[in-house]
Amino acid sequence: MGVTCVSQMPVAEGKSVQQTVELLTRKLEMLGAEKQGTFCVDCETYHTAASTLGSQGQTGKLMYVMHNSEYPLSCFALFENGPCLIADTNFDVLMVKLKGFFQSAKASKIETRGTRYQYCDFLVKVGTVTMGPSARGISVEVRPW
Amino acid sequence: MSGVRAVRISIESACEKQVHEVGLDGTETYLPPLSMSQNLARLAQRIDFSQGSGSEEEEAAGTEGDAQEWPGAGSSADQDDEEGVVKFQPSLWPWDSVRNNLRSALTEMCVLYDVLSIVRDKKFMTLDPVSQDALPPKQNPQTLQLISKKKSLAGAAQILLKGAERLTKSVTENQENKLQRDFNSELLRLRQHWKLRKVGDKILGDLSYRSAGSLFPHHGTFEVIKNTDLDLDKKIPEDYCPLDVQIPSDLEGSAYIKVSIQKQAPDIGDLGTVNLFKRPLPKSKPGSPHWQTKLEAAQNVLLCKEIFAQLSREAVQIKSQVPHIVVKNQIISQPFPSLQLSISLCHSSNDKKSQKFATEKQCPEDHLYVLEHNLHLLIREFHKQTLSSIMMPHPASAPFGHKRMRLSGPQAFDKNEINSLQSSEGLLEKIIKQAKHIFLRSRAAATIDSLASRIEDPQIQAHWSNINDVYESSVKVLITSQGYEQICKSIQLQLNIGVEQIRVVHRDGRVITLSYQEQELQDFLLSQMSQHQVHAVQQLAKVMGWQVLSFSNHVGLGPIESIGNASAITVASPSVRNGPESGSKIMVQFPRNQCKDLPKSDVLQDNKWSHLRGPFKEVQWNKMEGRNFVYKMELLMSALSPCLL
Repeated sequence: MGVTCVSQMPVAEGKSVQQTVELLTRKLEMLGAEKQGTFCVDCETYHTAASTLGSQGQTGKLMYVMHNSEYPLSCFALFENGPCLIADTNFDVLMVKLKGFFQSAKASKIETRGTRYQYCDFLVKVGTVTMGPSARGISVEVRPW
Repeated sequence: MSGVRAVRISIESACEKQVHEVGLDGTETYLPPLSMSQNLARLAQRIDFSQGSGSEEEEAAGTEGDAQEWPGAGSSADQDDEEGVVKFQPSLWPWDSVRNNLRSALTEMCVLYDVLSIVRDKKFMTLDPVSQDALPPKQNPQTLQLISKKKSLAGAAQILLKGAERLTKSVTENQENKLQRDFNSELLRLRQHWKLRKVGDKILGDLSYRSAGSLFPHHGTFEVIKNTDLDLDKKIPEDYCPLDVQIPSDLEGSAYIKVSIQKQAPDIGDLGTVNLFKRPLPKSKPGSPHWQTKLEAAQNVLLCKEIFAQLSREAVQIKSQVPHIVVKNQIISQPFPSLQLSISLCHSSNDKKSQKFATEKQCPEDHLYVLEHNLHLLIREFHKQTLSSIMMPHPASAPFGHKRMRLSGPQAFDKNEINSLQSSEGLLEKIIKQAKHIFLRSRAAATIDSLASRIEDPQIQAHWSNINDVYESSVKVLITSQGYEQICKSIQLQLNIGVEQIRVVHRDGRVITLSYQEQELQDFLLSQMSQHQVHAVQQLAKVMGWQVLSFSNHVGLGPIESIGNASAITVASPSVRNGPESGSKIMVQFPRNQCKDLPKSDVLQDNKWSHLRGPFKEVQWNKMEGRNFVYKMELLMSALSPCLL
């Protein structure tokens, strides 16, 4: 089975995010990794609507809905410290219908896109983390193939 | 008083017989006592029935009066007076009339009882009916029986004839009715074969495969109409049917899918000019009504349309190395470089225009019926899959598909798992594979047959297996020499013909993969044949007791062969070199003393050296006697073996 490791790569000094990503990918290719395509992981946040909050004024919960191109037919929903749900892609449609109870914060959609490389027994994905138009960082995911 | 003797007292009845006469000698002739009937008659005479109750009362009164004469005459006189008064006055005693009636009834009942008891004995009185006409003269009892039997039989026959008449009438009515069949009975027959439903006042039916699992969007509804154009004046035609079906206009006529393999490269200008031929309609069962044939033909057209739609959709969507061309009603693809597979939908309607074309061109030779049949089977297989338990039942919110695919979302299947679930091949790919296999197989068979007919010396035999797969066939090829099959059976090849390759398994365990090229198979077989010759010599040497000095399957000396390699064997002493193209070369070694042109050398002085082996000389093989190589070899060896004298 193995363990998947996701870590944040620090941006190199004096270079932009893109350049660092290019550096990493070049290193991988020099090592002998094969490029196998692209990947994309994105995450949207939803707040519980104010109308559903009780009179005590408890804080609304945050729900994250994530998609991963490795699992193209699935949708992942999780609360911060709570349960995690794996569902079909129809879950997005359901969220639209639950607009009254959950409000999406459109501006807070984060995604990471990049290429995936296969290196011997490992699968390495190097992605650029973007929020809106701006790139925020670099994520590297390593898992056994 | 004692002493006085008892006196006998005799008692005799008083009713003595009356004396009729006394005879002269004192004998008395008595009157015979009255018999019962005489007595009764005497008594009956005394009754006067005409008088009625009054008279009886008088008599009764009279007798009473007599009886009571002595006790008191006075009272009787009074009673007489009273009785006389009675006639004219109602009776003073209320039960009088009742008594009288009862008494008279009793009397009459007694009389009746007596009469009946006498009549029962039949000795003194009988009941005699009123005399009828005289009986007919007494006849022979047998004729009487005959006449009576005749009468009864006539009665029975009458009943039977009446019944028979009724039956014949009903049968003729039935036959008449057959011609004028009832609409409802015909509708019942239609319902036994097709699904019908009533919409408003129209009767619609369904001839699509939707209930069998098809997903084709054609509605496939036909309408049932009453055939009212019957002219009652004219005679009803033989095939009159009160029911008619109206099929959708795009399903009229007949259709089939033509699959053919041609050898020319597709020229864009030629596309769309498929040689269509109108296949004669499949003969319907003789008893089936015309609507059945019509509906079956329409259903066939629908199925062919579905097959073609599926194939063209796949041809456009699925990426393949050589793109498929879809033009009008034809799909063209290239399974092999110089080969063209065309699948076309031929739909001919029933008008006169198309019938003209039908008579012009009829060339069905290149139509592969097997593939058309397989297409039908494959689409039906696809239909069944949509109804299988892995598809149905499915939750209303889930998309239509494989059961595990619905779970792929919630169970987070990754790409590998999803790919393994999805059916890998579509209809078009399967058909192309089958076509490739058919073509390869037929070409391999043609190659083997041509070699077999061309080359006689080692004989090539092919044993094809009966049971084959759609994608694989196998054949066993044996190369033998005629007459020497038992000793020279070292070349046996098993050919497995697949979709794109031919895999050869040699007897000695080597596995060789040949491509689809025809020439490869031919070259290979030729090289095997040449190797066979040399193998045969080896076996022959063993049998004949000759020593094998060297044997090589692939000899590096001598001229290079273009096909395969030459093989050589050296036996003491004929030496054979056999190549697939160069043929065989046989050299025989002579001892030194028989060679005339040897240079004399100073070193070899002794005579014994002259017995050594000398140079080789070639044998003119084509002048050897013998029908094949091995036979000639045997003759040569036997000629060269030393005879011990």
